[in-house]
Formats: sequence, C-alpha cells, structure tokens
Amino acid sequence: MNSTTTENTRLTLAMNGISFNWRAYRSVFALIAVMVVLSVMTDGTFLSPRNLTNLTRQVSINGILAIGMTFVILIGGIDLSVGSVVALAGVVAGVLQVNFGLAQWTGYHAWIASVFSILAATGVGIGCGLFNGWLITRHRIAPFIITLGMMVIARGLALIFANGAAIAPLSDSFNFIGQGYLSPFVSTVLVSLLGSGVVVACLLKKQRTLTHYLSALSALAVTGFALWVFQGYRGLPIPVLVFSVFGLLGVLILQRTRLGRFILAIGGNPEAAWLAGVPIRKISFGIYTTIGALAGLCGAILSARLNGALPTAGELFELDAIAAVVIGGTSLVGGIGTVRGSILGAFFIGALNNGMSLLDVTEFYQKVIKGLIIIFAVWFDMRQSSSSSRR
Amino acid sequence: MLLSIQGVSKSFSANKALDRVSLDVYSGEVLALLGENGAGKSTLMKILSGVWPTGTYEGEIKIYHSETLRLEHVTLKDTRDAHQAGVAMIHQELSVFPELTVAEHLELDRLPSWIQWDKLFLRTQTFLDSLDFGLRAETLVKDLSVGGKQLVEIARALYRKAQVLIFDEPTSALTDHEVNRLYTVIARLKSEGKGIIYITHRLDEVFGLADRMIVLRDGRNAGEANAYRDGKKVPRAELEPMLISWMVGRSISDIFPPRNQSMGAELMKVKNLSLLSPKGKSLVSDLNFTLRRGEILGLGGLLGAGRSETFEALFGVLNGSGPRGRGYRITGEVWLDGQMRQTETPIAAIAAKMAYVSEDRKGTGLVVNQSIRNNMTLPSMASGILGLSQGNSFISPIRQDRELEEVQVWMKNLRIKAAHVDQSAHELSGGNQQKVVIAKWLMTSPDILFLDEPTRGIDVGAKVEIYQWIQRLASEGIGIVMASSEMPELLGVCHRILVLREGRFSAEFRADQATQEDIMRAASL
Repeated sequence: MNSTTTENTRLTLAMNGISFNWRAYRSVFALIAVMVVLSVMTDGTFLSPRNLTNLTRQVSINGILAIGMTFVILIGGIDLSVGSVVALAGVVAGVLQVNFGLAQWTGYHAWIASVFSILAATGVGIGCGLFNGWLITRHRIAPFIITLGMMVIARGLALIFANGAAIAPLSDSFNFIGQGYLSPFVSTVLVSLLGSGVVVACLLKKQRTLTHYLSALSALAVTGFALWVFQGYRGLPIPVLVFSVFGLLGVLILQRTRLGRFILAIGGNPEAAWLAGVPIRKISFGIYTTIGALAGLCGAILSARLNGALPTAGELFELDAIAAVVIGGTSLVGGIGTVRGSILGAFFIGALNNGMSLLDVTEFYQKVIKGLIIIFAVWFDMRQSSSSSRR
Repeated sequence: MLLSIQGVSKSFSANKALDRVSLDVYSGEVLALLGENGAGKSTLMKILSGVWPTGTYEGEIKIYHSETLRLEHVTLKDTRDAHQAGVAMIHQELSVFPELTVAEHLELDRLPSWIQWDKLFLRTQTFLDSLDFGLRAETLVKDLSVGGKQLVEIARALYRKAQVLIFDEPTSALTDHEVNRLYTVIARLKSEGKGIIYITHRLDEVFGLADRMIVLRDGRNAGEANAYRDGKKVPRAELEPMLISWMVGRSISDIFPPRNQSMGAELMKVKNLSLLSPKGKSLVSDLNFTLRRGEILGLGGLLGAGRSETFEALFGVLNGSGPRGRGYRITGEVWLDGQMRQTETPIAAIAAKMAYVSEDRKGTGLVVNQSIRNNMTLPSMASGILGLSQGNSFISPIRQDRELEEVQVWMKNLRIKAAHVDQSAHELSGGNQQKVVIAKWLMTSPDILFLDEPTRGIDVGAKVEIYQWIQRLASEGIGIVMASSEMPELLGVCHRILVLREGRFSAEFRADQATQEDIMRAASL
C-alpha cells in the first residue's frame, strides 16, 4: 500500500516535471526558432562563429542587468535606475582613467589602475543601490518612485562629472574587460569543464526523472554549440565570461539556496514571509544593493567596450532588462519566475537586435518590431499559463 | 422546478472534483448545500454561475425558461450567460467596487456609454424602493457595511431578474442584526417564488432556514433530507447526526475529544502587555497571564476586542522592520521558562520556540502562489531548525531530499489531501490550506503555539482532526493559546478561558464551569 503511494507521487512528480519543463523549454524553442529564421534570412551570416561571438558580447550587459532585475522583480520591486547608473559608473571609471591619469600608468601598474577603476565603478553602483535600498526598505517609499528619482539623479551626475562630453581614450588593460578574449584554448577548457560539470550534476541526482535527462542533454548541446562558436572565432569574450559567472550564480541562488526560497516567499506574500521569520528588509536591501553593483560593473564593461565613457550611455537599459525578465516568464507581481528564463529572454532580444541589423533594418523600424515582439511574447506566455492553470 | 443539474462530473487533471452530481431546485424553496471543504460545492457552483464553461465538464444543466415555461437545456459559456439564464451568485467575498454608487452596481453590465445620472438614479431608486432594503441609489458602496454590500449584491441579482440565487456562506462576515435582516430577505425571496441555494458550514443556519438539504462528499451526492415531514418540521436531533455522518462519511459521537489531563510546569508568563497603535489608540492594555505546559488557554471576546492583536504583540509581528508595523508601541514582558525573552520580531519569537497560526490564511498564513513544499518548510528554513539546508547562511544549499522527506511526513501526519508536494497552495481546499499552515509551524517543534481562529471556514471533519491535534500537542507538553469567536469551541477545547473586552481582560473562567452566556456577558457587558 505504502510503496504504491510513493510510487504514485513519484509518477505525478515526474509528470509534473515534464509539463513544467515544457513551459521552460518553450522559450528555448522560441529562441532556436528565431535563430533558424535569422540564419536563413541572412544566408548563414547570422550563424557564423564571428557573428555569434559578437552577439553574445552584445547580450552580456543586458543579460547581467536582467539577472539582477529578476531578483528585484521577484521580490515585487522594480529598478528603473540601472541605465543611468551604468552611465554614471562608466563616467566615474572614465574620469579616474583620463582626468586622474590612471590610463597613463604602465606595466603591472596599469593592471592595478584598471582593477581600481573597475572597482570604483562597481562601488559607485553599490552606492546608488544602497541609496535606493535604504529609502525603499527603511522609509517604505514605492520602488518605482525612488528608482525613477535615482534614474534622473544618476544621469545628471554622469553629465556633471563628464562635463557633458565623452571621456576617452581609456587604457588597453582597462578595455580588456569590455573587448578582451580568453584564448581559444583556455575557453575550450573552461567551457568543457563547466559543461561537463552541469551534465554530471544533472545525472548525479538520486531520483532521476526525464527532466534531469533532458537538462543534461540540453546542457550538452549548449556546451557543444558554445565550443563551436568560441573555437571558431577568437575565444570567449570577457563580458560573456562575467555574464556566465553571474548567470550561474543567479540560477544556483534562486533554485538551490535558502535565500532563493526567501526571495520567492517575499515576492509571493511579504506578510506571510515575515511571519515565518524571513528577514525581509535585509534581503530587499541586499537585492537593491546587488543590482546597483551589477549596474556599476556593467558601466565599466560598457565604457571599456566603447573605449570611452559616455554620460549618455545606457539609455533604456532598464527597459531592456525588464523586457528580458518579462519575456523570460517572470511575473511582475512577484514571487514567480526564474533566472534561466531571464537569460533566455536577454538572448532572445539580443538575437533580434543582431539579426535585424544584419538584415539592414533601420533602427527606427527595429524599435517598432522589438516592441511588438515583446508584447506578443508576453501575451502568448500569459495565454499559455492561464490555460495551463485552468486546465 | 427552476433548475435541474443532472449527472455533472468534472476533473482537474487526475483529481475528480465532481462525480455524477445531481441536484434540483424548486420554486419557493431554500435548498441547503452542505459538505466539507473540497467536497465539490464550490466547483458545482462555479459551473452553475458560468465560471467553468459548458464543455469543461460532463453532464447536463437545465434551467426554467420564462418564455417556453419549461426546463430548457442551457449552454453557459461565461458568467454573463448564467445571468441571462437567471442564475445569480451572491459571493462570499463580495465582488463590489467601492468607489461606485449602488445605482452603477445595479446596471454594471449595461451602463450606457454616456451616463445620465438623474435618470439612472431615478430608475434604480424606484426598483430599490420596491425591494425595501433601505438602500439609496446614490450611496457609494464603500460607505456601506458588509451587510449593506451584500444587500447590493442581492439587489443586483434581482434587478437582473434572477430566478435562482446562490448564497455562498453569506453570514460569515455579518453582525447578528444583519444576519436577521438577511433571513427576512431570504424568506421574502422564497415567498416570491425564487429558488435559493444556500451554502454553509453552520448547521444552526441550516435548521432555521432550509426546506431541503443536500450533502456532497468527495464530489458525489452523499445524501438528501427534507426539513418537513407531513407538514411538520423534522426535529433537529434527528437530522443533525444524519447530516454530519453524510458530510464526514462516519458518525461523530463527540466533536470535541477529551481534554489533555497532564499539565506541567509554568511555561510562559506575560506581564503588563500593552499595545498602542501608530495613532496612539490602545489596542491591548495591561494583560497579565500565565501558561503551563500542556495547558490550552482560550482567548474569547468580540471582534476587535484585541485577540489577534495580543498574538501579534507577543509574536513581534508589528515590529517596524515588518511589512505592516510602523509606529506601534509594545510594552510589557514575556517570561519563558523563568527567563525574560525578547520577542520583538517573528525571527526572535521563533527562536524562542513560539509558533503562530494566524487568523488570515491567505493574507498572512500562506504564500498562496507557491507550493505546499515551499510553504511548509518556510519557518523551519528561516530559523534553520530542522537542518533543511547545509548551514544557515543565506546561500546555504537546501537539502532537497531531506526537505521532501519532512514535507511528506507532515502531509501524512495531518492527512493533507493534495496531488503532490509541489501543488500550489491556492489549489487546496480551505481545510487543507489550514493544515498546511499548522504543519509548517509544527515542523519547527514549538513549545508555545498560538492559534487564532484555527477552524474558521473549514468543515466539520477537518475541525475534529484539528481538535484532536490540539489535545495531542498539549499532551506532549506544548502550551497552547487559542483565540476563537466560536464559544462552543472555546468551551469544548480549552482548560481556561480569558475574555477580552476593549483590549483588557474582563473575566477568567474554567472551561468546565462556564457557559456561553457567561462568556458573552463578559465580552459585551
């Protein structure tokens, strides 16, 4: 009697796993579909290792911001200031490099100067995040308002510090974080290690369901594809490396740790979470600070990629990040969503941008098409989830 | 006959919610629909009111047609179709818009795009006068009491010429006065030939109101009884055991299990507990009481007398770093096992081995959009009690196997009916949701358990199970404080009862020596 019951639970669990993953894999299929269509339309240019390497690098910044934004949205908040913070942090790094002469340092001093600039940019981001978090958690002002204010403040500060103009050139060692590559050999080793690690982790489970095999298989496929891409051009771009690290951390934190549970609970029902002993204020504060830090780091990466800090950089980055999160299936109400979805969402948007540029669609039309696709994606997702919840 | 449901079945994935249920409603009668939570009442009513459209279930629904003058098979694609067919639902949680007037509510689905207010008020007021509910067309609904809002819903149903009115737990939020008025209204609807389906948990109501009773259990017709035999009322003593046995599937000789007899040492002492609201209003003042191991202490009192506030003050809910608390002032001391303890936040309270099953399941008890598993382990996970994670830092990995094991144990212990541990909490019936809340706190193996209305809105069977658990926990040496507005429950479960009035204790009784009248007098005086 008993064993049949557990057998049944396991069976329903497995079935549940399949239906759940169909939902998760759907966005994967959407991404693959977009890639196939774009490859055909561009006669394969899209699918070349060179283009795909560039694509991943373009996606990185939005991807990193989207990971942070996922956590913010999961606790039922929003951060509109990330774009401006990216600009402010970039400008601060630029001012240090150019106006304070760090870019002139040579030898290993140059690397110290660059690391210092990057840390300073991140620090500026943390400062903005602390300010947001402090006002939101301690003074209970709506995050929309606070971060809207911060969006304008940070933009203003960026313009002030940069005197309204671009700051350039930056040192080569600093630019490495935006433009550099890991050598193809190192990239191969790293990607293979990581890929096989994920595959093994999927297969090491005590109770293996179909889901685990599917995850292992897809991890294998992604690894293979990544190897082909990065081998075929110049290796793994540094921004992509940073993105991957934060992506992995984000996924693990949300899925596997206490913190992930707490975040979901806070977003689902803050009162119940609080009553259950979850330190909601501390966690919210930490999350706003973290996204600030990520935005600061992205500021450094962006100015390094452009070899110059623009006070007008990062416009609408917050909306791209929110779009990636939403396309990835995270609910704006809070409590429901995944980091993996947001990463896919970022790739989805990135692939569209890249493909349309390859097809010589002018930027004005790109915007319209992108907007329509965001609306369609979310509408489709809502339709699917409402029909699945109604059954 | 106004309505006939024949052999309706509906499944949610593997769960059969309704299994060939049949039910007839005649003109001029009150049909009481009884059943435990999860018995299928709500699903059946959702089908009737068009929430689950025709085609998502099997079986037939026929409704009396005012033109053909006979029962016609109907297709209900949505709630609008149901209105048109003459079926109206008076909801448990009133679905009214606070900022609109009564007149707008009456014409909500047919408001012209350009509103001529004077004509709208005139036409609706004429109708309202004919009902004699004492409603004014131009009143904003937010200015009405709960009972008043309910009258608006009834008026709206009648304005749409509803033939069958479904009342879902209509008295759960009403004052005594409003309840009486509602009964009068129902009696009048009956005399006007409407058919009424009355869903309730309270057997008292059933014997006062119903002409006929139908009981559902596990999605099936479990029994049907007539309130009258040969023109005379059937005595309650005859009907009640029958109804209860149909509802729970077994006869209950005694709803309240015997009280725990073994009491231990003093566990908690509360000294001079007071709570001031941010506006300086005294919510609770100067409470002093003790609790022994194995003791069940009852908190009685009217709504707003300070029962929940007492718990919230003791459990640290109103601390400034919480979502609600800001500017509350709490004074007083809590002594546990002879030591003074600070319980200024729930985190500290849980560390002091307290647990709090709050009154509002959906508002503060559960994260309803999340799984049974996530809900059940949240307090243990937060306090690190059960070793559900490898270490207690934020980024400690969860031990998934261990967690699953614990959740399954408690689902079995409390007999929680669910498809699997990852089922979302909002898909559960009220009784099962309550059990999840209780389980999540018992998992933390508390010394002190606060229960606020632990059996509100759940069925007899689940109630009995919860009473048994309360006695069992007491016998294991846990001290329990239980607040309830149901006096029989306080008298049947507790050892001692403290009655609150306007935030102060007005009396203390030994439960075996007190009567409902004693408590009532102390509560209201």
